Amino acid sequence: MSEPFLIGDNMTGGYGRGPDILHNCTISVNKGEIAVIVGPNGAGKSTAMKATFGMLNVRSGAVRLDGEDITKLSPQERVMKGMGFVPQVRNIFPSMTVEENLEMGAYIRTDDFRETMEQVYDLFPILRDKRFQAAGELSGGQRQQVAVGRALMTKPKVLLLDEPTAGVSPVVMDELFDRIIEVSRTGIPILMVEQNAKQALEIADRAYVLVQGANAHTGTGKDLLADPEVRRSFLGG
Amino acid sequence: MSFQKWGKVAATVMVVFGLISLIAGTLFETTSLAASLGAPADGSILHSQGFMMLFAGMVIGNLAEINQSLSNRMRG
Repeated sequence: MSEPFLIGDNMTGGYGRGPDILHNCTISVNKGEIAVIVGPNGAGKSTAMKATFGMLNVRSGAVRLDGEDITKLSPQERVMKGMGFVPQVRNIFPSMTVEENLEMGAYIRTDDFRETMEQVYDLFPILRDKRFQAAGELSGGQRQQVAVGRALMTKPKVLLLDEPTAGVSPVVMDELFDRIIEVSRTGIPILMVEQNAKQALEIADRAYVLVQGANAHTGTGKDLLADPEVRRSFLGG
Repeated sequence: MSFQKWGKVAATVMVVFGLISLIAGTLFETTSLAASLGAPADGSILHSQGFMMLFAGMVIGNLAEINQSLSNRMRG
């Protein structure tokens, strides 16, 4: 079986010189897939994603993108290699307009990025209507769309989303999940950390339940939704 | 104002700013947002700027010093 497109393989590590938060944690996503990482608070979900993006020290294990070892690369070098990342908080420039935020997303682009911007506007039509409005004035769901759109401006080969539905209403959350599925259909694999485990597992091709920085359960979203132990421990029965 | 005077003032200012940039570059914390843009978000720009200013400040300061000693020698 071939290796996944992006894999954080047996990662152990933590922030700075602090204690290890991840313990032999493995997460991966393949082309055409949505992979989700769920688990209780403090399980190391966001930490696992940041380790994959290079924002914390991986003391052992490796991160490989399309077969290439990128463990030693800085986050910005990983962006150059095709990783798009949407942080959980402070993921837009609030004083800039929507369009300026998207232009900032094209920071590394040296070619004409107008076509990509049109694709982002097609994917998130509300952003086209609000293109000259300051991003800080938008609702939570719209801001998340700006953040995802900004990440898409780099033309990523894989997209990492850290709790994209944090702090939004259930209706907006459903809309955001629909948009994420649409992004996935454009061919970009998506690795996503989510608090809303049930909804996330419903759309997941591949899912990881982390507990205390280690893999507790792995499978397809449907498998984990049907797993009695996962249901009892993480989905409220 | 003579080169000796403004050269020394400029050198002092550049050395001070260079040191501040070096310290700021070291304390700089990588932000997720900057890193996600693919921008150099690790303080390396501040480090380069700090070293350049420090070097330029020292060169200008030394030139001002040389200029002053030459003037003194010519006066007698």
